[in-house]
Amino acid sequence: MENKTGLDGRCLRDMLVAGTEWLERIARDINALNVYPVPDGDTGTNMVLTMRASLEDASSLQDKSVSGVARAIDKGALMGARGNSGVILSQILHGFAKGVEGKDQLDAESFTRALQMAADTAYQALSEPVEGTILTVIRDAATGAKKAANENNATLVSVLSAATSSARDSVLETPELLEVLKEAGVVDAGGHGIFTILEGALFYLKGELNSNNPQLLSSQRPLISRQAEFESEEGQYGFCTQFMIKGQDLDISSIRKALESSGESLIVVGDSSVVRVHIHTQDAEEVITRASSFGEVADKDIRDMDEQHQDFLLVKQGASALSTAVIAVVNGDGLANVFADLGVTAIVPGGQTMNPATMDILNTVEKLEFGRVIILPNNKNVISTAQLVQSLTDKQVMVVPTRTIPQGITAMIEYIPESGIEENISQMEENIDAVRTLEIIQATREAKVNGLEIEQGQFIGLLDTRLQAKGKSPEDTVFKTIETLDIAEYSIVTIYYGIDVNKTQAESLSESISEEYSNLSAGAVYGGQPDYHYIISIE
Amino acid sequence: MAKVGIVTDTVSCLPPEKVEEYGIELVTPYMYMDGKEYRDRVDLTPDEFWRMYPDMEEFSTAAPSLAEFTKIFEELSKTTDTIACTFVSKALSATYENALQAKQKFVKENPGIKIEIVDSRIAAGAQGFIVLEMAKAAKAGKNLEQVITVANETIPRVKYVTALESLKRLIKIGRAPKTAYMGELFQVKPIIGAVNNTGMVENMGRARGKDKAMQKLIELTESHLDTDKPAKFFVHYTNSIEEGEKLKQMVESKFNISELYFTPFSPIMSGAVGPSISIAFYS
Repeated sequence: MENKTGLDGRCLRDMLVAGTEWLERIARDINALNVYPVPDGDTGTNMVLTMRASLEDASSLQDKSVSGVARAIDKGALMGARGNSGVILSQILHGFAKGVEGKDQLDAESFTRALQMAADTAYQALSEPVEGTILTVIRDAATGAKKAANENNATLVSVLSAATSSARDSVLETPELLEVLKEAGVVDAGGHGIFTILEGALFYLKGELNSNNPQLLSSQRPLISRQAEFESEEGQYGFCTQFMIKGQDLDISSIRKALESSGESLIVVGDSSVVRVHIHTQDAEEVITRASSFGEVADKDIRDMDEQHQDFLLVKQGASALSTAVIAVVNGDGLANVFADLGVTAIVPGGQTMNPATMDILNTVEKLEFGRVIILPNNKNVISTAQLVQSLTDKQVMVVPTRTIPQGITAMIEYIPESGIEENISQMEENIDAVRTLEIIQATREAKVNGLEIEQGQFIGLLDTRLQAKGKSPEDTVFKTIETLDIAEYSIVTIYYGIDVNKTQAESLSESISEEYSNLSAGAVYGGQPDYHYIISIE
Repeated sequence: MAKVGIVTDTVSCLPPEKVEEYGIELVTPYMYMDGKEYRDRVDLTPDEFWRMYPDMEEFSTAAPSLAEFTKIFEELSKTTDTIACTFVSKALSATYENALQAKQKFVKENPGIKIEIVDSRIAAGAQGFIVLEMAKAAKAGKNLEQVITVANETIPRVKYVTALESLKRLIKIGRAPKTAYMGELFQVKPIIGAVNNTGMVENMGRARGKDKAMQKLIELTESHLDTDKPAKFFVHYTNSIEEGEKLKQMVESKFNISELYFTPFSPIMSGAVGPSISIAFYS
């Protein structure tokens, strides 16, 4: 393949498939790089899931042109974008698709132009672009490609090779541009992700995939232990079921109709001969039996989903009297109940370790019988995903930029169903900063963040998502974090305890807070969230 | 001409001295607590009610019987031939309907007596304001028609806001706003009220903690009051007179006041909403 100068759309797709698989192999390590500002979502996981979604339609496309495949990838990425890094990645793919518009073949010149447009589009998408991130890396990759394209005998391989090598240098440079990375001794996770995708694509083109391994540009071990979300999930809330239907004259809309009632998060894509299905269902066998009536079912992939992730929760009481729905992104059954009790119409499962896809939120928005929808992202990495939904639906969608669970709860307390949507939004936005959020999580490697030396096994306390204190136990860390506040200003402390904490432990923490600070009234509420031992609101 | 007789119910939460001063007649709805029947404010004072409250399991209410109204009409007709009545919102209670039936029967038997009943569309001190205006007009020598005109002019202007501990009680007796949620969360106080003249209990939002709830009552009062002129207020408390005093001080320091009454919720109101604190107002 090395001597080819032009390749078709299928080859572009295969390059990206290779890049995605390459990324998948080190996604967990990339997740662990997230120290910006501290345990910051799952960048690696989000990028893999976004790439997978982008390739979903492209895999069964009849159109072999580069522009046709790129368009399908662009559309898929937009729908499947997860988390901040996923949204930026989808913008990169969007720019790339614009860059190859009208092209049948991908060559050195069109690839270089597309990469430049990818970088430009990503920068334009952000109101405040930050250097030392994925943005810097994609721009440097484009610059590297441009230099190589000006050489004589430039080929697709030579420009992609130059882009990859510039991306690597750029990733290694990120700590110099972003102070928090330097302090923690890591490179930027999103930047690393884009480099890895390019590297995988390059090795594919050169036929060297099997003789190499993805290289992690950092020797650090993870600060926070977590599980990559696309690995096995188990629990009672049904099965994530994926398969292909092969046949003739397949009608996507009748397949969708036939499966719609069998579960949630249904995705049916493809053409008349191959259709790809994704659904969350209680009864995978029934779904497959139904699907078999359309054609041959192949590539079955059925996985249990985590029992805490209540897939969909509709509070019926009073719903008919209202015209606006509220969707909250929440992880943990206890927290989901809290939001439901406060009048949220639907819950989209997700949070710190599992940012929902644009598709997940969009599906929920479309499913609700309301013309107006308010979304509470409750995590700063979900805000941009939620905002993306606005352009994908005819419904009026407003996003209240809640960055934490306590902010989301505060917003809900302010919400009055009878008031107009604008009035509610302004009331919610006005009040979300009045509550302080304290989160307690365990570190699994040593690190230096915000001037604090963290040892392995220590607990860290985040105040409004910024690292504030460390301690030997979750409770000790709660007190150390509270001490940094001007206590006299506050009166109510609500402790939402996670799955790693039992009720007695949480209640005794609540009692000691009330005893220690006479002006504070503290209470413990079951949250059931993973990762965080405690999420605490102080107001 | 004898002055117009004024009749209301104990839900109005009027101060006893005003009831005395204007000779206002009070009918008493019934409440059933754990199998026993009580007449509001007659068989049970607010203090007695709150002593029983912690152990209370069952609570329900019933409108005054026709006989109650007839007895009052008979008593009043000894000194006057015109009677003006207003009761708790007919959307919330059968009191209005029962009064209407009692009236029809009574005037048939006593053709010389004229009785008018207006729907207050509200409750508590806000209802009390309407009654006081009617009583003042009657005392000033206005006739039945004029007293009713005063009532109809006052009704759209009176409002109240109430911070609750919980919506549980109101939901139990079926008076909660449609959009109110059953769910409870540590230190979240539901706020209800009547500011849109709907006759119903309206959802006014929520607040975290008692202090914010009181602050919200003040803010809501301010936004639904014409603050250019002196206004009249009721501050109602339930199981904590200290909280009531605190809210009263907040009202006093915030608003231009022409009259302020500080009264406990009658037992029937307390049983209906549970521990709470309220401001009724109009200008």
